[in-house]
Amino acid sequence: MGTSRGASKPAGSNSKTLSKRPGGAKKPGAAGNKNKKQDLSTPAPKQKRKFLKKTHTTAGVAQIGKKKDPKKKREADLARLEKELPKLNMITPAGVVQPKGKKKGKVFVEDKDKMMSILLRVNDSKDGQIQSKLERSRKLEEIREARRKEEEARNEQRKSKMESAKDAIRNKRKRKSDEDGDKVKSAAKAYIQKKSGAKKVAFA
Amino acid sequence: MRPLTDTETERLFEKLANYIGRNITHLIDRPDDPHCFRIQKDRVYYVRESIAKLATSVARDSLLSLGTCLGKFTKTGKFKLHITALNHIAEHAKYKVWVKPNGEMPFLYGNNVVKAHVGRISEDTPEHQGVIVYSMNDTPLGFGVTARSTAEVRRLDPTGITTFRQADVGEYLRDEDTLF
Repeated sequence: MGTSRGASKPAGSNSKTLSKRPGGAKKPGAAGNKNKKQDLSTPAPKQKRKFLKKTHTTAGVAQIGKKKDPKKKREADLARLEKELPKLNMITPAGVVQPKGKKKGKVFVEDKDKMMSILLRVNDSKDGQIQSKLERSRKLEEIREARRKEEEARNEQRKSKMESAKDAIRNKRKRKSDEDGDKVKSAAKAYIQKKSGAKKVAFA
Repeated sequence: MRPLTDTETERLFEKLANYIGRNITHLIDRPDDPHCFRIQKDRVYYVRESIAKLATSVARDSLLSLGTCLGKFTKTGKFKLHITALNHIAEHAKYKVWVKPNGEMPFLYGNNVVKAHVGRISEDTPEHQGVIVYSMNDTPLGFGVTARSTAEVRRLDPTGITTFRQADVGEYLRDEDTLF
């Protein structure tokens, strides 16, 4: 059984293919084989040919309406999305993004002019620093000097006050002692006068 | 061995300007004997141009040293001046400190300069300024940074620090292995 079936199939298929071929055209022939009977009875409406529009551009000839490869389409979509969507607000380290058209690697200072310009820049900044330092120290020195003078003046004042106080005390004491001394002196005088009137001693 | 980049040159000049100010031009501009700065690994050398040209024929790994080593760049990008630069710096020094004979040895052993050891000091030296330390017979001993300005030094007590040591010639013995 199996062998007979197997033998019949190829034969049938052969006949089909054979019947197609004489039709002539490849695609319309396949359809036309079935409609042969219809052709005889009624005139079949003209088959619409699938016509792909062609556009001539400077880049070449492009066919509109042609189905694109899904892979390519996806790629194109992705590229379009990439362009349209805003970039994520991510931090990009300064060293990572290199500006385009710039020399890679280190830039050496080899000419004297460039070296001199760097030197000038450095010198200016250093001079400024030194000047400001000197000025600051000068100001501080002035303030210190003023404070020292003030302190000295205060000390002098305190000293003079002390001296005057001492003098005052000294004077007070002196006056007292003078008064006392006067009293004693007058008393002594009176005593001597008294005595001198009463007795007189003379040595030969 | 390669020339210095923009930033490297700036760092180097900033450090040199601390000690010699505008006299750096005397190092750069020498028409009779042109010199240049070259960097090999992390060390900066001050080299005669003819020698620098000859040195290009030596591979980087094989080249140990050339010219005078001025100092080195640290990993953080700062420049550290070495004692080997003293000869070039001392002749163009802007601010100076002279140390008495009794202060020479303490300085050469790596100590700071105290007021008691100061023989002379340049007028109008601001504080934190690079100075060259000399012995009383004008022999350069090293360099440092002033702790006080000249005016303040005068009032300082004898044990007060006047100059912070940065480098001294004693390093030739102490740091023989790592200096060059």
